Amino acid sequence: MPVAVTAAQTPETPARSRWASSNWVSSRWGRRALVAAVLCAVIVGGAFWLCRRERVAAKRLLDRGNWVQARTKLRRLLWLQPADSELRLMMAEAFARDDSHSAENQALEAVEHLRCIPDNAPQGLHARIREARLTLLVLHRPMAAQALLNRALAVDPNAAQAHTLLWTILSLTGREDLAQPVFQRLYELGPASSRREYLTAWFYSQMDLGQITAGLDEQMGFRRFADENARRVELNRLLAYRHAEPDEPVVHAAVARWFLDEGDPEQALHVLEQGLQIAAAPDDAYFVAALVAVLIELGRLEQADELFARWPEPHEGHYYWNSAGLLQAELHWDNRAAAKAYDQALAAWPGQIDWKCQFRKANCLALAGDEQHAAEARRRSHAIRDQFKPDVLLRLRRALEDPDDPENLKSIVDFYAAFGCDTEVRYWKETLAGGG
Amino acid sequence: MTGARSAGGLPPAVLPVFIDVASELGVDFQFFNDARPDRFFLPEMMGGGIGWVDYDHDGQLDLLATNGCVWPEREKTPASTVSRLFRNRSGSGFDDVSFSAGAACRAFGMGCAVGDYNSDGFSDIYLTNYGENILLANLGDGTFSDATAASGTGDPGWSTGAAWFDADGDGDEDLYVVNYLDLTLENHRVCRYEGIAGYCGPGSFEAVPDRLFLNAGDGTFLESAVALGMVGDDGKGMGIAVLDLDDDLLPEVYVANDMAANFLFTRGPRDEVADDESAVRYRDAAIPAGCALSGSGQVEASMGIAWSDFEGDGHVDLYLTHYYSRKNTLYRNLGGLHFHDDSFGSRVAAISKQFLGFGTVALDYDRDAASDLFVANGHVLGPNMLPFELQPQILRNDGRGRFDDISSLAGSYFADARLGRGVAQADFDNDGDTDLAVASLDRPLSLLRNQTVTGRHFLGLQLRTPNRVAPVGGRVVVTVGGKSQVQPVVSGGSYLSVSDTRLVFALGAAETAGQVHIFWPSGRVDQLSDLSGDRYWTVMEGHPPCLLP
Repeated sequence: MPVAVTAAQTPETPARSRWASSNWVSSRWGRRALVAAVLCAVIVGGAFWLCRRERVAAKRLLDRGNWVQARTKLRRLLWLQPADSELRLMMAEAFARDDSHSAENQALEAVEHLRCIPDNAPQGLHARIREARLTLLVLHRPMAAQALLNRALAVDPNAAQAHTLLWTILSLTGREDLAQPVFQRLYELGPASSRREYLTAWFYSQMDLGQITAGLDEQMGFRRFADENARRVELNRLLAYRHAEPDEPVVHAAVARWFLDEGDPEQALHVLEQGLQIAAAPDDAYFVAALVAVLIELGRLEQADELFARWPEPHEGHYYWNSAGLLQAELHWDNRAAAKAYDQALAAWPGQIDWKCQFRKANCLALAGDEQHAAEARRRSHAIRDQFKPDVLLRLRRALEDPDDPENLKSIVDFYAAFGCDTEVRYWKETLAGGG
Repeated sequence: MTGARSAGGLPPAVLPVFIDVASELGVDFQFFNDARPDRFFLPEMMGGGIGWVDYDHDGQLDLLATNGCVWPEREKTPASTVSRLFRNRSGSGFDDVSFSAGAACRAFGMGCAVGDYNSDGFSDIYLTNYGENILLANLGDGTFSDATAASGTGDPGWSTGAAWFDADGDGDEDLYVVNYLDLTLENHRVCRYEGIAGYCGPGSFEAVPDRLFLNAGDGTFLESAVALGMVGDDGKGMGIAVLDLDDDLLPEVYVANDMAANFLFTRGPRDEVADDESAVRYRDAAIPAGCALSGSGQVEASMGIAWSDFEGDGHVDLYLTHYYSRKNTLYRNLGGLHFHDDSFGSRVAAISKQFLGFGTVALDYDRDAASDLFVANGHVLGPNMLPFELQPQILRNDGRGRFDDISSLAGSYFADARLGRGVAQADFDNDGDTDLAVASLDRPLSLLRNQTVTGRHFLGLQLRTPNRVAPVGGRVVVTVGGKSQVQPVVSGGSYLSVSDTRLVFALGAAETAGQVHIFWPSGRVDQLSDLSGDRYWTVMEGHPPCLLP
C-alpha cells in the first residue's frame, strides 16, 4: 500500500512505473482502474469497429443506391467524426445522386458537405471538382463553378477533370477565346488514350458547339424534348445562369451576346445596362467586349470608342483587337490602322477561324489601296467560310467517327490546315501515329 | 449608357405627314397572290410591283400595278384579276383604264420596267412574271399591244426586277431582266421551321441566270448577257438599279441577289469603249468594289435598292433591304468604285434588324437636302410564323448620313403592320414633294400623299435626249448657297417597281437654283443658272430648259 500511496501521491511518476508496480496493480484501486481502462479500450475499440462497419455499410448502401439509409448512417458517423472528409464526400454523394427529391435541394445539401472538405485534404481536389460540377449542372452557377475549378487547379494543376469542366464552362458561356489554352493543357496532360476524345470534342466545340451542349442542356433540364430549338434552349440556359448569378458580369454579357447574335442589339444593350449595375462589370474584359460590340451595332460609335479606351488590362486577345479594328474602320476611317488591328485579331484564337474578321481586313486593305493583299485576304476569308459549309462539316463528322482510316485522317488534317491551325494538325497526326 | 432606343436624336423639326388617299382618289387595287392553305408556293409571297408611267404623255404620272393570277390554272382567274393601269386626272383622281388601254394582263405578275424601246416618245411597259414576261408596246394613242412574241423578250422563268438602258451604247434602250429561282410546282416543297410548315427560302432552289436583251432596233431583241460579260455566279436576283457609280457617265448595273453575292456590272473606262458595239464588255466588280457582300463578308438576302448621296460627299451611295434579324445595308460610295459597308455608322443596321425589308426609296420628305428613306417591310415564311406582318419605316437622315427611325412620329399608316412589297415614289400631284405608292400582299395598294409642310422650295428637272433614250448614267449637280446636291439618272430601283424619273432638288429658302450642271451620258455638260424653283423643268440635252406643262 505504501508504495501505492507513494505512487498515488507522486503524480509526476511516469505511468509506466505505476503500471509496472505489481503492488499498485494488486491494490483494489489499481484493479478497478485496470478494469476501467480495459473497458474503455473495449468501448473505444468497439466504437471504432462499429464505425468501420457502419462506414462499410454506408458505402454498400451508396453502391446500392439506397440514399436515405446511407444518409442516416452517414449522419450518425458525421456526428462522431464531423471533420472526416471521406464521410463528407460520401454524404455529398448520398445527396447528389438521390433523384427522388428536387435536384436543386439535393445539390445544395451535397455542396454543404463538400464545402466542409478543405482544399488540402486528400479528398480536397475531388471535392472541389464535384462541387463545381454540381454548382454548374444543378445550381446553374457557372462562375461559382469556375472559381471552384480554379481552386482545384491550384491544388493540382494537372487535374484533367478540372480542365475538362472549365473548358465546358467557357464553351457554355461563349468565351471561346479562353478555351484554347485549356484544351491544349488538357491534351498535353491527358493519357494518350484520351487524346482522340479531346480532339474530337475540340472540333465540336469550335465548329458545332450544339453537338456538345445538347447533351448538357438536356442534363441540366434546359432541353425538354429532342428537337427543341437549340437557340431557345441556349437562351433559357443563359437566363438561368443570370438568374442564379446576378452579380456576375460574364453571364449578363453572355445573355447580351445571344440577343446580339439574334439581331436584337437594343435588347442586348438593355441586358448590359442591367449588368452595368455590378461594380466589377467595367473591369471584366468579356463584359466590356460585349458592350463595345453592341454599341458598334447600334451605331453609337463614339460611345463605343470611349468605352474601348477604358478596356481593362491586358489589352490583348481576339476581341480586343477586333474591336480596335472595327472602331478604326467605322469611326476613325483609318483603314491601315484597322488592317493592322485585324491582323492582331486574326493571330489570337479564335481569329484563325474568323472569316468575317479576315474579310473586314480585306476591305480595309482594298480601301487603303493594297488590292493585291486585299484579294489575298478575301480569298482566305472565303476559304475559311467554305470550311463551315454543312457538307464540309458533315464530311468531317463522318471522318471523326473513324479517324484511323487514313483517308479520314487526311480529311481532318486538311480541314485544319485550311484554317492554318497547325497545332491541331500536329495533334491529330501525333495522336493517330501514337495509336491514341 | 441609357439613351433613346429608337429615334437616336432630337425629334425632327419637320414631321413627315403621309396620308393614304388611294381609296379617295379611286385607286382600288389589291394584289392577288393565290396563296392557298398549306401549299406554301414561294411566288405567292414575292409580288408585286408598282410603276409610275406617263403612258399618255399628258404630263401626269399614271399608276401601274402588277397582279397575280390563279396558278397554275390561269384560266380560272377571275376576269377582274389582271394587272391594272390607273390614269391620273391631274392629281385629283385616277381612272382605271386597264382594259381600255390594253394593259390588263393575266399572269402571275411580279415587277415592271418602263422604257421606250422603239424611241417613239411613248413609254412602253415590260412586266416580269412568274412565267413568261410580257412586253407592252405603247401605240401612242393611249393603248398598248402585246409585243412579247415579236420582240423575243418573253423570258419564261421566274423574273423579278427589270430595267431599260442603253447597255451597248448604240443609241437605243436594251433590257436587263433579273431572274430569281428555278422553282416549279414539280420541284416545289414545303419547309418546316421548328415543325411548323412554311415557305422555303432561296437556299432550297437553284438560281436562274439573268438576261440581257439587246435591242436590234427593229423591234426585236437578242439575248446577249454572256456576250457582254453580264454573268454572275448563283444570282438569285430581286432588285436592280442601273446608274453611274464611278463618275464616268457610263451606267453600272447593280443587282440585288437573295442569299447570294450582289452583282455590280461595270464597263471599262470611256476611252476603252470602242465604237464597235461588240467591244462593249462588262465585268462583275462587286467583290473588289466592296458591295457584293456585307462588310463582314456575309451574303445578304438583298431585295430592294435605294440610292442617294446620303452624306453629301458627291458620291451616290446604295441602300439595300434585307432579311429579318439581319441588317439592311448602306454601302457608302467612296469613289473609284470602292464602297464601305457603313451600316453601323449610319445606324441603318440598328434600326433594321427587327424588320424584313422589300421595297425602298430615298426621298427628301422634309426638303432639307438630305435624302431620307422609306422601307416597306413584311415577312416571307408564312402566316404560321411570327412576326409576319411588319410596320413600314421612314428613316430620317440627319444630313451626315446617319439615320433615325421616325416612323412612330409619322402618322397612322406607319403604325399598321403589313406585308409590304413593292414601293415606288412619284410626285403624282406635281406639287413638288414626293408621294409614295406601296403594294402589300395583305392590304389594298396604298397611295401615300405627302402632306408634309416644310416651307422650303424645290426644283424639279426632267431630262431628255434627242434620241429619246433615257440618259441613264448621267447626273445632275445643283448648287444652292454653296452646297451641292448630286442626283443620278437611274433606271430600275426599289423592289419590282418603277419610280418617277424626274429629279427633285431641295432649294431651302432660295427661290432659284444657283447653278445646275447636267452631265449627260454623251459626255456633254450643260450648265444652267438661276432656274426658278417650285416648278418642273424639262431639259433636252444641248437645249435651253423649258417648263413642263
